[in-house]
Amino acid sequence: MADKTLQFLDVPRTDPAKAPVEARVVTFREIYAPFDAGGAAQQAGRCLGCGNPFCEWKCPVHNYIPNWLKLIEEGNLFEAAELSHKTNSLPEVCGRICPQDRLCEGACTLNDGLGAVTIGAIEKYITDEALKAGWRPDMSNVQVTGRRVAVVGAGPAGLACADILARNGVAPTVFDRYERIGGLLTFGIPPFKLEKDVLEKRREIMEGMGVRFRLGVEIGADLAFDALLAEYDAVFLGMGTYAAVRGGFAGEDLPGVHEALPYLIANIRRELGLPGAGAEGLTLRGKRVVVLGGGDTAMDCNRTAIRQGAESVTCTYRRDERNMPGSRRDYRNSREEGVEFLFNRQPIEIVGSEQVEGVKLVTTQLGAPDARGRRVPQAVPGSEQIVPADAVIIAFGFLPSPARWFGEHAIRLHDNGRVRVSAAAARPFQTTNPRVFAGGDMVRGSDLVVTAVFEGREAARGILDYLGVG
Amino acid sequence: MIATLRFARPGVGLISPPPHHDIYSIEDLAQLIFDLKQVNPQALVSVKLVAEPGVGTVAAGVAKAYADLITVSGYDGGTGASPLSSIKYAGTPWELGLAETHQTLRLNDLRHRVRLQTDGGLKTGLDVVKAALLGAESFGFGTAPMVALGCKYLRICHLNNCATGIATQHNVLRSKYFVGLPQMVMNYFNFVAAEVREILASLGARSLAEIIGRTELLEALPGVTPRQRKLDLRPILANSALAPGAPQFCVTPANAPFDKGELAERMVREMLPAIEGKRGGEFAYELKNYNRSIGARLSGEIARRWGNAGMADAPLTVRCRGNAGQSFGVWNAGGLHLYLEGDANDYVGKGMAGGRLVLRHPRGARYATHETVIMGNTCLYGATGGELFAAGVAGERFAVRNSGAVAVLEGAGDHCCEYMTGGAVCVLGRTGVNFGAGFTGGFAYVLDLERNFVDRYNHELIDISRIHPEAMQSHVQHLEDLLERHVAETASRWAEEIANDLRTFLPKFWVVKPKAASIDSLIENLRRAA
Repeated sequence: MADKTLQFLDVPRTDPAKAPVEARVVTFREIYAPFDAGGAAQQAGRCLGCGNPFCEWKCPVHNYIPNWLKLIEEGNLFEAAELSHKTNSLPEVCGRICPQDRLCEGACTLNDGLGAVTIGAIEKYITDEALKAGWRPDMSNVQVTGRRVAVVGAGPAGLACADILARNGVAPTVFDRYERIGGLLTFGIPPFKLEKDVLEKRREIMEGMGVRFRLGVEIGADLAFDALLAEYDAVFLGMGTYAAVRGGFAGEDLPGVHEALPYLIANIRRELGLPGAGAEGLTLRGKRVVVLGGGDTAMDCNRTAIRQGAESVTCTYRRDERNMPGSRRDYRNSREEGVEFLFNRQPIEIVGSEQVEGVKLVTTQLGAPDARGRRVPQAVPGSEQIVPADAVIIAFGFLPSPARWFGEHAIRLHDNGRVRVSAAAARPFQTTNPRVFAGGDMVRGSDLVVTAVFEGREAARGILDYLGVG
Repeated sequence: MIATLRFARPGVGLISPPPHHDIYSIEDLAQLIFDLKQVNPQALVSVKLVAEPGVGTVAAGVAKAYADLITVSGYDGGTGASPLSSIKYAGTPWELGLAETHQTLRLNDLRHRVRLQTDGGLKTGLDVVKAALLGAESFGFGTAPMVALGCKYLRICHLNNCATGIATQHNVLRSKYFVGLPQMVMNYFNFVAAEVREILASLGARSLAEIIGRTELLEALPGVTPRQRKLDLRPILANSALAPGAPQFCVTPANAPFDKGELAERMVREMLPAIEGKRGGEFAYELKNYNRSIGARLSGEIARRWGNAGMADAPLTVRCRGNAGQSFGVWNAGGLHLYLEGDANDYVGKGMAGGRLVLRHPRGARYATHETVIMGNTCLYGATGGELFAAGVAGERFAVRNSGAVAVLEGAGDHCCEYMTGGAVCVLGRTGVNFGAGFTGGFAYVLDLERNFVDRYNHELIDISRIHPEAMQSHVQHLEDLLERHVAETASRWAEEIANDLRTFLPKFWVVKPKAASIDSLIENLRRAA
């Protein structure tokens, strides 16, 4: 390199190679190739090392991004992995599925026309390659405290909480109703974004750190919550949000109308060869599919349907392209893979007699911003149209799904069903039951993986304070 | 561009931050302020002080040294090129320094003579009002308007790769990625001003002047943490025991020095027609050692009309006799040739830009010139051009930070040629220790009769070599020229002896140059710079 300080100008931003569309739509494999060491170092070297690292501030877990970019530039893989794990329990997951374009890479100084540093791909590279080369978290200084904590839910919040507890000598046992760890990381996010052996590897590492997993156990059904309180010093709840938002229009219960999450879960179960893929097998081969919604879940459904061999996939969203809430990268990939988008369309009815035959849409225009600053779509009278469909997937988002037993254990909720937690600096995420902590989607409403990781870690800090250790 | 402004060449290292070897004491500072006011009598001179305990005393000294403005600079904010450790761990808040300065100046009846400015991370109108209440009448902003222009505080200003196109010479970055417009800064300051007005109105004041120094309008908060509750803020808010009528801000147009520089004014009166007509001419004066900064007034008048080197083709020759006061020939401009028969104090030729200074022993003196001091310390400090011939020995720190002047003298004290970045110095005699520390450009000839120069120069950045008559013909010739001119200008018997027997003396000369420079390029570079 002629001039190191101008590497960001001389070397353009280069994303890792992406599989060509024809090759990727016939499998559920991840579509991005990994970096090699030279490529990672060269891309990492584009970082300016800003005095105020905007990427680090924007990142919900405040990863030490410029610092590990520097380490990768210098070829110090293990040090980078160690540093990356200081702030993030699942960096290889976040590197794959964070919407970096809205977080670190969106905040990158170079994102003003110079091309942001490829932070996500490098984050993934660090942990993947370090684990491959034999790196494991350094647990040599951990003092065993003898305290035990139950973690309900092996999703990102639960895993992150268990990670911090284990690193502080508290023995966590993680319960999950599914037979694999990861929660939605395993069963919700399609494998073409996150291959499932990544989570298997993470399980192996966490077990190596002393985390116990008790899988296939649903608290409240297979095991009473009381049993946890009796056996453990504290409990962390990271149970997610599973209640699907409904459209509230006619025809939602017709055969051929699916909720997004059961659809995705069934597909993944089949891919993994697990039982319970759904009675009808739920594959959309040869069907005309309409996906309703414009978020990340809708994109996942779009791309899953494409890979299942749907004849056509049409995605409708009630605002315009610019106002889409999800990752731009997922949207671009969906388009590339052949999804057709209908913007400014709101479904008002699913039509059909025995079975879905189509979706009645009305054209919208954006009105004045609402309380959250988002412009409200308003229907244009007389603009109804019917898009023919054999299957409809509704991906309107998720609402809290509090367990029935919360009330019995003095775990109080907000009006909208989210769990109430303390905001105290020393003991964050404590629920109204002092021995119970909670974090992730069930506390904040459905959100990103990385925010769940952050809350799980913060809750672990609260638990450590409550237990008087660490 | 930067190299030109700094009188350096691209590739020559510059030591940063540059030490101020011309200001070791408050008297040095007073002299510097006088020099500046001589070269430009209309200018207001500002002195920036770091907010730290005792800054009030320093500020009182600075006010007595006839500065017109004093800036008390706090530790917030900071330049993007400085190391994080300096930004985080150096200095104290401007509030402390400003309060102390304002109180001390009022106590010593000096406040009305100087304008008091404060800076260091000022951002809002509230900051301005607080600073005014603590005694400031002027407010410095650096970082905030930069941010308004698109600065993202990357802290890489020194690397020439600023991605916002601000702190860089890189054409692509400047033309494609700099988004700043003057209106953005105007807009920012309009908002600051509007906020100041709102707060003033809420205080019932019509103008900022009404609230300067009104610390009773500030109320101490109890503090949140136990440590904060222990803070005693009363000393900051104390209104000195002086009568309330003592001025709270500057009421004089400028802080005029006691020394009116009467001889310098007479010289200007007598020579002004020659300067205005660009005619040149010859004049003669007697000097006493209280005649300070002689030549600066003339250089200022020349530079104002004709630029730094404007009268080089029609020089003014001024023949002086006697003992020159401090700063003889300071800021000397092109076309001003000062001859002095006698001797001079400190700072001869400080900041010289062009022209010629000649110092020689009185006619009939029988002492050996190369064993006799003819000028004081810190001569030719920071000179950027011109020439100096001195038939005698200079004090310490000769030609420190010289970047373009050519000088011949017959001996020098310690630290000669420190931080030099250009020009040439020829010492026909003994030098002190630490010769050439931080020397990154230009070159020197040193006559080493005692064969101990090797022990006297600073080995870090320079090397020395002998002059081989065959291989280094250009150096021999250059040295011969310098000797010849020195003899012609000063009638030095010592230089004449060397010139007449150069075969004997030549092997005793060293050529001193930066390690990074090639010996063959030295004279060519000097010629190109001239």
